[in-house]
Amino acid sequence: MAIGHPHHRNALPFYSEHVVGKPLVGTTEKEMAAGVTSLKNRKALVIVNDSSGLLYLSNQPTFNISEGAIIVFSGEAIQFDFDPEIETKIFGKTTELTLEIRCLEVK
Amino acid sequence: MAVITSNTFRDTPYWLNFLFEGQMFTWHNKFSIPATSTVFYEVKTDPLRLHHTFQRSLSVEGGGPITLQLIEAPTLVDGTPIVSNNLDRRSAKTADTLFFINPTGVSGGTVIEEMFIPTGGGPNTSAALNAGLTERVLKQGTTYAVSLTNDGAQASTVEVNIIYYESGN
Repeated sequence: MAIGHPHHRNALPFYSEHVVGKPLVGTTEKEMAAGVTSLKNRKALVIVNDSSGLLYLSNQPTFNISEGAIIVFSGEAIQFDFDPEIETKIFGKTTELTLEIRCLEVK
Repeated sequence: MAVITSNTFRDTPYWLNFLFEGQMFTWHNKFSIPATSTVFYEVKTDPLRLHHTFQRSLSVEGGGPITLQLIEAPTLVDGTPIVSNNLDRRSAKTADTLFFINPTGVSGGTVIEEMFIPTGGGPNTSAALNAGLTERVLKQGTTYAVSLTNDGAQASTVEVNIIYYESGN
């Protein structure tokens, strides 16, 4: 082993479980999760917008779409990879519609 | 290693997202044009929003041929407003582009497009034009006039249908 190399291999990410859900997202910010709240120690969140509308995302519990947000277009899926030791929330909303969005959380 | 990745899993045409966001509209009007006469309609764009003309179609019954001219920034007096309709019937959003029929005192400006719709010229002729091949972006905060001239010896009825969407960028 070369000088300076860590003696302990970093744990590789792996899949152990997942949860899926179809939250309804409207004009009020909603935590993007498969269930009521985010899966504890999740490694990834996949949001699939298969709806007929645009979804706006932010890491802020309240945000102004006109000032900037992540747009998830209809027909687009977006994945966030997290540090499982740090609780990170993603919030979503729309400009006027209520959309059924698919969420997959991976641990 | 990317921490945020996105993938498109469905081949959604770009304009469909504008429709889903309630930003796509349709406008129509039927004009009666006597022989050798011209009628106008007016398009007034919003100072901040961009107007994208997506598709135009004209149907002509009787008379003609018809010459259409699109005139940028003419001088005119506003006519009668005719509202557009949102193509997403779930949406309550209204268009920022304004349409008027029969403006008066139309003069000047720059002709940026001319189209000719041949008909044959009799009382029972008909023709149609569908110009949906390319998208046009109009200037913000600008007035446009469209003239429809019946170059024939018989009266014409012309139906104009426009599909457009609006964006902020």
